[in-house]
Amino acid sequence: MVKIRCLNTVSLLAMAAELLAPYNAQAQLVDYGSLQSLFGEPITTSATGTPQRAKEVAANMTILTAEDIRRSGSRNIPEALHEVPGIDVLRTGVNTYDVGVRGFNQPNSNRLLVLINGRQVFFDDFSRTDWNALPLNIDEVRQIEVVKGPNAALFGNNAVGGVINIITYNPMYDKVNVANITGGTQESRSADATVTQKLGDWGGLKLSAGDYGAHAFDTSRTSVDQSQTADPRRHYASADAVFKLAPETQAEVETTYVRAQESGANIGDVITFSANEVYSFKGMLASQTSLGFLRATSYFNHIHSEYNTGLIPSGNAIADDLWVNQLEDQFKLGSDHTFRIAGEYRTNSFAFAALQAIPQSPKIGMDMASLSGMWSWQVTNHVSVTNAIRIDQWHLQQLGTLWGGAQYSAADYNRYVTNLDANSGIVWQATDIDTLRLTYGRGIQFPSFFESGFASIPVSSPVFVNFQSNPNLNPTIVTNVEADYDREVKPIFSTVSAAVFYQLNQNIKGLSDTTIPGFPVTFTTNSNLGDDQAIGFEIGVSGKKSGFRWGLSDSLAFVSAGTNVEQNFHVEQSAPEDSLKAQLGYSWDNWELDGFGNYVSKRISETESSTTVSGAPSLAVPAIGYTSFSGRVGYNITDNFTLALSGTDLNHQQITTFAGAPNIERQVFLGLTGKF
Amino acid sequence: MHNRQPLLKQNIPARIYSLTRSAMMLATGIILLAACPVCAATDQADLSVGMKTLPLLTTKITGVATLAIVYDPDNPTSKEEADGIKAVLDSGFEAPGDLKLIGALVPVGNLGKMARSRIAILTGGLSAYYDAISAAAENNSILTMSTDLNCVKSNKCVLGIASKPRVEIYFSKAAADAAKISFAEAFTMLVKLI
Repeated sequence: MVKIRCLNTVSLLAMAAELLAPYNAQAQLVDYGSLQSLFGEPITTSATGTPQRAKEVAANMTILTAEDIRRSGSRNIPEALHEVPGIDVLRTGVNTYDVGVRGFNQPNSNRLLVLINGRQVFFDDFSRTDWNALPLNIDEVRQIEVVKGPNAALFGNNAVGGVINIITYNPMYDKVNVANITGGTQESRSADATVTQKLGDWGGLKLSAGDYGAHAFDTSRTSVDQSQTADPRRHYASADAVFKLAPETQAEVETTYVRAQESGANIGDVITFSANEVYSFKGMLASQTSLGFLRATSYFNHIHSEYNTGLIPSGNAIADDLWVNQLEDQFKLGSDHTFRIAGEYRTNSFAFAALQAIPQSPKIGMDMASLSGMWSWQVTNHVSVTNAIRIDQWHLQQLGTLWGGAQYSAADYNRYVTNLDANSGIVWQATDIDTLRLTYGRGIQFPSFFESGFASIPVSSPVFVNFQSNPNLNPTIVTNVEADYDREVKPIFSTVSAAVFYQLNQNIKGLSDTTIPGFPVTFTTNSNLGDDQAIGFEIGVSGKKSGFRWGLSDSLAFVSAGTNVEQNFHVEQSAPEDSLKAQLGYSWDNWELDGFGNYVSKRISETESSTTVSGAPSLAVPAIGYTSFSGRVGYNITDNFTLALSGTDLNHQQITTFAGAPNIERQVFLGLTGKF
Repeated sequence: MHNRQPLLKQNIPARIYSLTRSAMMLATGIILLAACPVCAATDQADLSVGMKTLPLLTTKITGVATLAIVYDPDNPTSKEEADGIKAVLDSGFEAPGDLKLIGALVPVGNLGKMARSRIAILTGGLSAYYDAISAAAENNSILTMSTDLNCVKSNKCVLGIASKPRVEIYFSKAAADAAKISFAEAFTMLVKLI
């Protein structure tokens, strides 16, 4: 009787609560957390632009989850990427990194498109990513999506070697209140905080801010390099607000600011001081309509980039204004066909910051109009086919007055180039545990400002007085074919992955000495040097069970280049041919213990080659590869606070990993993180 | 229909009745498995998967909500399955977000009880009642789900759920439209549309 009475009481309470319970209309952006919880695996939009389960994408993709990042002890994105098979992280300063994919990596690595929530944070001036200038807190990252190989049919320009899309928590769906303070060797100190606040049913707000500083690695360099060495600094702030305008319509506004400085190796392996101030504004409107899921996005990036070597005098800051407008529609026809059609228009203007106030001062514009389409067909329950194409029309144009003395005419700077990106893939889920992928990708890398637009800017340095970039440069075309195989090995709670790929890069762009008929002086310019190609193989196993997490992988990538390419651009062995990575972690009670080891074969830098732009003497470099270890010990003091001791390059006091860069020193950090 | 079991019990000795009942249940199970390879009793994993779809509804359900567990009282397998679901819900089942779910057993002969619910989960063995259940769900805008994929394939349930060997969700847009229920576009991109 008591039981029945209780049930009746509960039922009555439930009925009353139901009558009073609000029914929240929820807008329609990707709720990564709920979808991952439902399907038991990460969800991504970085392969086709539409949501997909990670195991079903027609691309070679690795997703690092927030848990992976936290347990790795990574203090920034490149350190987290270090654990991904096929990814090479070249460190040339305390907080200066270049990230390469599958056999290609150099200072100012230019083959990787990097985005935060789909917004480009890659710099178009020199085609590079300043990883120190990302306006985010590592603790606000939900996942990092790493696509190896071209994915340009979705993302367009420069998504040729790979794509890294960093997904942060969405204040509409996620509650994240986290603060961290960390101190360590090299006088490292950082403080970051991210807070989210739900705004009733109709929105959410996220604020994030942080500051970082350290002392530069101070091992031996040339006197020229030493003059450009500065301590790394970074401070940033961001605000992201998501609003529900109607039950099926959502809007987002986001702004970010970051100022960062660091020193690291540049083209020619000379140490370069780089100070970047970047701010961005982004607006997005998305709605679920009878025509499908419509989304309009517009964002603006302003980059003020000071970029000095000992060979180019200071004061040459470049201002880059990028404005991107995107419109897309995603829809399904029937149960088996998913489509995405999209258009994009971007304007990009470059100028020397010091000259911007002068009327008719020289500027270079690089605009691009694009149309793209994607069709994914679920042929059977086990086979899907995805095809995507994108047409880009690139417009190089001279704005303002052409600088006197330029070797090219204004007509040379008014040029249209149209090209086609394509991606295609077949995914065959042969059994419940076996998945095979065959993919093809063709990506276009249009010239950067440095490569095609720099000619109109005077450079007064005696070394580079004859430097001219080349407005007639052709885009690099990257073609990649590969086969991937994944197998779940349930007895050991692991997944084994293997990939074999072949990549052809046509019209490689690089510096060389050139003469123009009728022009009296030989000068250094960018030109299309020829082709190179790479072939490689990756195999790995990873898994987790009962507090343990583990991973072991080996990546081989062999690059061969035409003579002209190799003499001028030095791509063969610019990244290690072999990279072996191992990680092991265990958590128990309040403790977490994680270790990571990486062996890389020797990389050959430009400084070691016969020709150097800087003329700097060769530095000592390792005759063979090297191994480095990093690790983290975490202790959960309470449910809210975690104390973590972490370190990088723990097995060396210091080690030379790359000619032209200072020795990388052991670093140890102690951090306290609070979550509320 | 409701009197069949007592009549059998009255006229047949208990031991023979028990053996016959077991044999019939086994036979029924074998027939069901053979005839309906897409049917599987709802277990805790299935229930968990089903409830994890709730945050992806366009009209989100929050607070305290009643989950109707529709079953056939004349079908022991169905009754057992319903009791199992109810037991899971009563034992502190953790619903997503701030949602608190209360399970309510709804005999298929008394579908009016569904009106108090926003979600209904159907046990196996209800194929004969799909039309009635679907009509009740449509009238009350109730999200229906079942591990019997035939229900969703016949557009009588909104969701079909499979948690093994991996999570799969089947979605009947026709059933959803009829019940005035919609999901986030991202969700519909990830499920198998009927």
